[in-house]
Amino acid sequence: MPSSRQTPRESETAIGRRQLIAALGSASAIGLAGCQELQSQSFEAEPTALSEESQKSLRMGEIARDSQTIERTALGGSVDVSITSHAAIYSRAVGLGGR
Amino acid sequence: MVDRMGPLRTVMGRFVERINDGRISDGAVVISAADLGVKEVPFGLFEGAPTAPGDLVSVVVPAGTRSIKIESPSIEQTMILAPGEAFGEKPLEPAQGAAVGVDRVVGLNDLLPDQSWAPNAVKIGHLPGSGWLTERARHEKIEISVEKVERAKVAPVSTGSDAWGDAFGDVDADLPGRRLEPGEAFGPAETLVAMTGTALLEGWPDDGPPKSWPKTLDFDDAVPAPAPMGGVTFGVGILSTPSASVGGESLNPLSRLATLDLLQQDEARKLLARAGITDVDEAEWTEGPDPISPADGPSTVTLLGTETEIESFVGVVTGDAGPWGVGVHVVRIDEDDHVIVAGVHRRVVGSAEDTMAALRQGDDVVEARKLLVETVGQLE
Repeated sequence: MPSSRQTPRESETAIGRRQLIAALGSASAIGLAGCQELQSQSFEAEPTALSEESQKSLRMGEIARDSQTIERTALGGSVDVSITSHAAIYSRAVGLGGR
Repeated sequence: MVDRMGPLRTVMGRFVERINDGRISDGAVVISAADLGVKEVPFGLFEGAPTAPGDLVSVVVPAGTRSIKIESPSIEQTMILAPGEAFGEKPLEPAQGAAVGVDRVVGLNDLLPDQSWAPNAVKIGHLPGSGWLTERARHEKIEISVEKVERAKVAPVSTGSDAWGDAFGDVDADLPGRRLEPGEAFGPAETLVAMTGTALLEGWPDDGPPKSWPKTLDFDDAVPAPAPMGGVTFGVGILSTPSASVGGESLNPLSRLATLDLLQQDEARKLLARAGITDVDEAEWTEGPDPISPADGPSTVTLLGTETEIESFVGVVTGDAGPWGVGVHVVRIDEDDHVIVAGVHRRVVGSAEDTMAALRQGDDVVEARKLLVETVGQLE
């Protein structure tokens, strides 16, 4: 997965994807206050990982890259929230050509 | 397929891999023969079968071993190391006509792995760690040093009947080093002797072990030290979670937890197990985790543009064949996302030692933090 990590300078002026989703979600909740329908919001982290080149220079081998989404409710059950996290696992033994 | 590197290019690395059923990630331990109840070790490899004091002889065993009967086939799953100085001042002459004699000479760089974990750390040459020697040997300032090629310690080894074939296949083609030259002898100061347990069994000078030897070498009462194999047990787990919040209500419980509490959460323990803190599916703490602050090495690192401290912990977790003494080194930031990076490593622990004290004092902690810093610096 290509990385889209922002540099510190970029993050000061740009609105990240995660922040935009949250802002729209909040606006929707306010606009529809009192509405009987459940609202939903999604949050997803940016994956953090080592490039293949970095793995080689560090002698670390990738053994897993995966994502997990959990569903929760907020604001007393009035908002459905999905939260997606990313994990990456590296092993020195695999990076050396073993296990 | 990754080329085999570092420890897996050395004789010891490939031997440990074989005796661990193909898993280099379990590492090995080094135990003084004296701690196993052995007062002296005869080396039938050399003329006169000289003996070395047990507290100068190292026994390298796989991580899962708890005891070995002397006469059983499992004795072959050990490597025995002795510095030449353990035999006194006379040159060591390979025995002629021995059942299992010295037939090969291996350079120290090819026998033992480099001790450094961080591949980009500044160092001069390939330097095996002194952890291969016993505590008494280090106390007497016997060294494993490779200062100049002409003064490098060499290791006369006995390839024996089948001890090496399993690990190296065609010994002549695949084993580093060279054949012994006729009449070649070895000066003690330049020599580190290496032989497998098979060579020990087949080379008893009196057709059997000395009467003073125990019938069983019981490792449970010994004090094992991790074999310095360049961080083969090291692993890293990285978890990126969004800093989710709705109407001021934070939905990410991990970001609010202190690291010490985080390490005992189910999700964290599963991540640590996947990174290699143990050889079972989930890490169960039986001691610790206790925070430690090493005086040496780095204390902070920059993770994705944010400088943060390295938090280190030691403890004991359950494992398949027995407990593991572990180190966990954590770096966290809480910006747009909450990112947790955990470097882990493990070693066998003995019941006779003060495990937590041994874990705090070991070199592994500083080496692991250095490697974690290099790893974190390349995350994106």
